[in-house]
Amino acid sequence: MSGSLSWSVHIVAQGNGAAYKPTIPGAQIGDPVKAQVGDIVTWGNATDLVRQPWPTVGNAADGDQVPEASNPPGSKLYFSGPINPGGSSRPQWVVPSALPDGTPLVATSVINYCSKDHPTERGQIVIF
Amino acid sequence: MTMTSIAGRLSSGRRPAGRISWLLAALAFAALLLPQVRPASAQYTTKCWAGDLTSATATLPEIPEIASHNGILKGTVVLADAQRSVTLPKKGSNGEATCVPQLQRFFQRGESTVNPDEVNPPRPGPTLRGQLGDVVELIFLNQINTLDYGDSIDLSQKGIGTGCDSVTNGSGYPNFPKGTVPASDTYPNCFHGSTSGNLHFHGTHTSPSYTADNVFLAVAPSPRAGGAPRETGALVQAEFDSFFANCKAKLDATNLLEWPATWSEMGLPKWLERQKAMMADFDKGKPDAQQLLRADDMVDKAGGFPQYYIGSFPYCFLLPHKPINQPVDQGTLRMGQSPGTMWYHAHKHGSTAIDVSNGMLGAFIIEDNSPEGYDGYIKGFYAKHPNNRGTKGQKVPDQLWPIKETVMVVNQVAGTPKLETGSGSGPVPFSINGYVLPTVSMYPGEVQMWRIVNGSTISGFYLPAMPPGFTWRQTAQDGVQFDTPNYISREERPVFVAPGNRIDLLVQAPAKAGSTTSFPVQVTQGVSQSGAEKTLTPTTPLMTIMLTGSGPAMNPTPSDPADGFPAAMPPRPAFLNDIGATNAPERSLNFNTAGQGSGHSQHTIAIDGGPQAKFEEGPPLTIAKLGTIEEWKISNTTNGSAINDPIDHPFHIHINPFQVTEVFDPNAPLQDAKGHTIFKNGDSTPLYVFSGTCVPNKNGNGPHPVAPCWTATDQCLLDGNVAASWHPCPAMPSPYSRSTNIWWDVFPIPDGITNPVTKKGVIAGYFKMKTRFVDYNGSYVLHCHILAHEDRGMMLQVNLAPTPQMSMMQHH
Repeated sequence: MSGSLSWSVHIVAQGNGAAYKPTIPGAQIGDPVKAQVGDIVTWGNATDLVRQPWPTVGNAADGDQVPEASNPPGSKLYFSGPINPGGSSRPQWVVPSALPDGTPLVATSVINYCSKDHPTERGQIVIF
Repeated sequence: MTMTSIAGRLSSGRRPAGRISWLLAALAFAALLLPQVRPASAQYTTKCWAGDLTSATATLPEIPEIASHNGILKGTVVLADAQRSVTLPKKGSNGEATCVPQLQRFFQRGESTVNPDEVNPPRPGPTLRGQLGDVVELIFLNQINTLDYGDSIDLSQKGIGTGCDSVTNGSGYPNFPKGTVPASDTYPNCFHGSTSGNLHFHGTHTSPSYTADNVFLAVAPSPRAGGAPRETGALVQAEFDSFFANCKAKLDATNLLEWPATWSEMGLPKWLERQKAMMADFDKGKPDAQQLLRADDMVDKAGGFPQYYIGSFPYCFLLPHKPINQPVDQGTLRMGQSPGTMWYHAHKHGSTAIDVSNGMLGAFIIEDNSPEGYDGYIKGFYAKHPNNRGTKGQKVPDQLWPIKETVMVVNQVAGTPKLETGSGSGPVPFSINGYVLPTVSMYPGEVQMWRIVNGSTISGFYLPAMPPGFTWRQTAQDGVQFDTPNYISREERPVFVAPGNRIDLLVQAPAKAGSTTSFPVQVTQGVSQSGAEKTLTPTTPLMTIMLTGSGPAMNPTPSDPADGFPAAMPPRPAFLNDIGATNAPERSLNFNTAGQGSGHSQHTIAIDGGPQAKFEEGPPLTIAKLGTIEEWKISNTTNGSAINDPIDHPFHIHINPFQVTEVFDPNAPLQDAKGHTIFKNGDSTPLYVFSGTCVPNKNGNGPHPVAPCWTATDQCLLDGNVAASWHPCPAMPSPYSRSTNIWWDVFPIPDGITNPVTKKGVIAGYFKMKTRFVDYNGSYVLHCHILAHEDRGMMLQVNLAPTPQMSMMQHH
């Protein structure tokens, strides 16, 4: 049982919205979180509204949020269900070895996401 | 929108190209508003607290203690979380240790403010140090910040549902493809509830119920206000102190009392009111099956002791002291607590593996300092030794010990468990007190006492010998001292320390320092005792002993009559004399892992030939009344030999220890009288040979000229076609008994082997043990101490002397 490494991201209030802050020593709000394939990434919601990390169309940093029907629970980029204020993500999201289209995730690959229903709130996961 | 379009573009920190200029400009503007992949200040690697084989770079840290005073072991154990340095299995390009910061959940002494940017080494919880007869009064606080961990459910509906920590990468746990055989894990036998905690006092003989060694309790994290936990020591201290005073008075008066049996008996109205309010808040919006207050109310109304709490809980129980000369059939208390090296760890079903591997464990030393007691005897020997430091005018290492006593909590600090054995990057390295390959300093001729706890959730270690020049004696196993025959017979005998086992060693450094000052202690890592014993050369360094400094050697010259070790041990407490005749039929338990190595192994137990079942899938094991003495045959049909991955499931039962009376390990190697494996040309010789695989010689001795069964005279011939022959040969002395039997509370069940004659079916390994079910009734558990197996169902509820009033717990 070697186990998976786990990385935490807090969803924190910023201005009128929210931003993502990895719970890593030295990390700042807006920093990407780094993770390896097979690692677990969790999100904790420190804001007052329900939030849900959600993939973007084409995995673009500036892409729209993917329609709900295209990313049902169990999908590779279903990061979490809705996260209540003070709650954390569920189910566990494990960094897949490839994106849904089969594109392998390798070192320096980036997964872009936004907050569902708050698409201007953007985050990134960098594979290392 | 199709799924493929989600990931139609994979960036590597670059912005898209090939658009018309106005779009690029717009995007550039938009990009200013977006987070960039930039050189981050975040630190994804961190300092390693790891040593090497040649220098004192990681001195073994001492663990803070909570020690008893005036008959009370009182303190606060906090379940906290913070960044800690975790050593990766994979080493760096130059062979150096590589470490990453990881948020870990662990026990600590008292409350402290967390600096989010500070990374500390892993460390076990405080060492609890008590005396026989103490009342343990521990405030337990769960102050984990749940924002840092995925939402993990304590209570849910049995079976397939939402209770398990499922994952969404499409291939992981427990979302196996439909039709997978065996089926995927189902609640409650799956990983879940990892932010809740409790305390199991492993090795104690006390009540298994209520506020004692009650592993059915689950204490969820405190809600937070302004980022800080609301449930604090200051908040509960006064009320808990009142409860503790009442508890001590009652337990001191009646050492068999199991109290408090209900919430109303606790007498904590404000705390209970707050608990109910927190649970009601926690339960909002949750389905009935996940509501904690609803579950507690049902038990409370039925007259039972509820099991779910939030933020805080008061542990109060007795370490029962039975007079050392009083045998088991005298006195109302039959067994009493054995003095020795115990430990404590989280025992929340579904999360024991992740919890203990994160650091929810610690040593629990229970002393008997009377002159004839275990501790008093050893201390007395060294206090009176002519070369004792004190008598030589030097400062003794510790006012409590005339020789240095070192507590070593072995662990494999890891992240979130996976179903199988990881990704091939190698086993998680052992740590001791949080440091990988730490350095232990000794001066030439010094004797130290080592209390070693193997708190690893997965691996045992086999210690074949100490470094050349060092001498050693094992004085106790699993918190029960050896008597003199076993102490002498096990002089420098190799020892396998399974997950959950403890050993006490007296270790003496060579009297004269040579040119070499660093001595690696090498072990073989694994979960198969025979597999480890068959390893010619151990290659896993556990620690490094540095020979340094000077002091009075315990046996400086051959002419000095004083030796470094006691010549004998004191008699064991009379209540720990060998168990005699049983008064109930023999039982059998079979532990089995199906689908080993498949990625979805299933771990089950069968009772008395019944069906293999996971925890709560079958009936509990019921012992009708206190005073029952039984012999059990505990077998293991896991056939790791077929895939070269043997597993000796470490059997553990709470509350009452046991004595091993017979061991059959079909994979065992031949060993000499001192327990050293006999190697020829680098290969071990099997202890058991099977007729049909060879032709036995006429007289049973010596090699056959054509197809020898025997290559050595001490081998044991069995018939592969006759199951009744699958046991140790009568002439074989048990290594676990010299005049008397050794006590254990964890014993590795030997792995099975494919029948070498029929080529099908498994010849099970087994051991037999005797135990007494005495003193305290209630519900508790037996299980495999590979804790991921336990979490996934290899556990059985034991109901001892159940009464109509007793509400049996549901463990989740």
